[in-house]
Amino acid sequence: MLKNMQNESHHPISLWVVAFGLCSALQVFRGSLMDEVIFISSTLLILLSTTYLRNVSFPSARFTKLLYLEWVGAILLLTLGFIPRHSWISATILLAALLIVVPLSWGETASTGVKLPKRERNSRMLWSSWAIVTCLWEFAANILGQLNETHTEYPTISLLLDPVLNSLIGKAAFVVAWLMVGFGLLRAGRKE
Amino acid sequence: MSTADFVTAGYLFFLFVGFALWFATRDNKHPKMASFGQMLRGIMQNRGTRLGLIIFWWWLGWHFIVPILHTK
Repeated sequence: MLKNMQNESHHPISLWVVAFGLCSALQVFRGSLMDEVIFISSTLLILLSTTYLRNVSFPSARFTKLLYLEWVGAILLLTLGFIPRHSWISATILLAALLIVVPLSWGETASTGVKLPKRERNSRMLWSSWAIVTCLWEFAANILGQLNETHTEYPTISLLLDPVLNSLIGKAAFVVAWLMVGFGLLRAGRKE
Repeated sequence: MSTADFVTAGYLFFLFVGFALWFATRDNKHPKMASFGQMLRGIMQNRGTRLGLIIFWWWLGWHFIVPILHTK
């Protein structure tokens, strides 16, 4: 049933709505106001993108095919790599990046009824399982850490990476890796 | 082994499994399993998936770079 909802039927509601809904619930439990806003609004946006707004298109292919992304990536790397983590400048730059990547990933068509070949469906199932189990492990650490108020006993990924990100080299390396992943996602989503 | 070590070992295990999966299928020649890149190009035809993945990616950047703004 889940498989049918995602790519092989014309059911408009993406499983990402469910995933973001669950993440929203976790953020409410965490009491992180900004993350609550991000996940709840993202849940609504994804829901609307394949239902009421499914015919609204954005010509993202012409942007992702050109070199604009390399320039945007270079600017983000130079700014985010060297500006202090906890600053409002970093927050402003990231919000600006969000305003760029959402329209680019919105694309021309909603395409909710794409049928993937068997090999790709197998791969999707395997990687989805891996991602879900990894997220559940992180969620469990987060929830258990909050319940007994000893975050160091149940460390989350954030807690483990924090010392690395507080160094200039660690933060720059993270920004490079993060930008490469985002760049790859935008390239993978473009129309040839 | 403490609880913290066990939880950390879990993250490292999942990281290793992910790397092993990517490595085993990277040439896209496995008869039953497409490579990660091939699978990604397939699922990114779906708008919901495109938005879900890109917003989650963006949030990771936000979460790790602007952490002080997260608490109430």
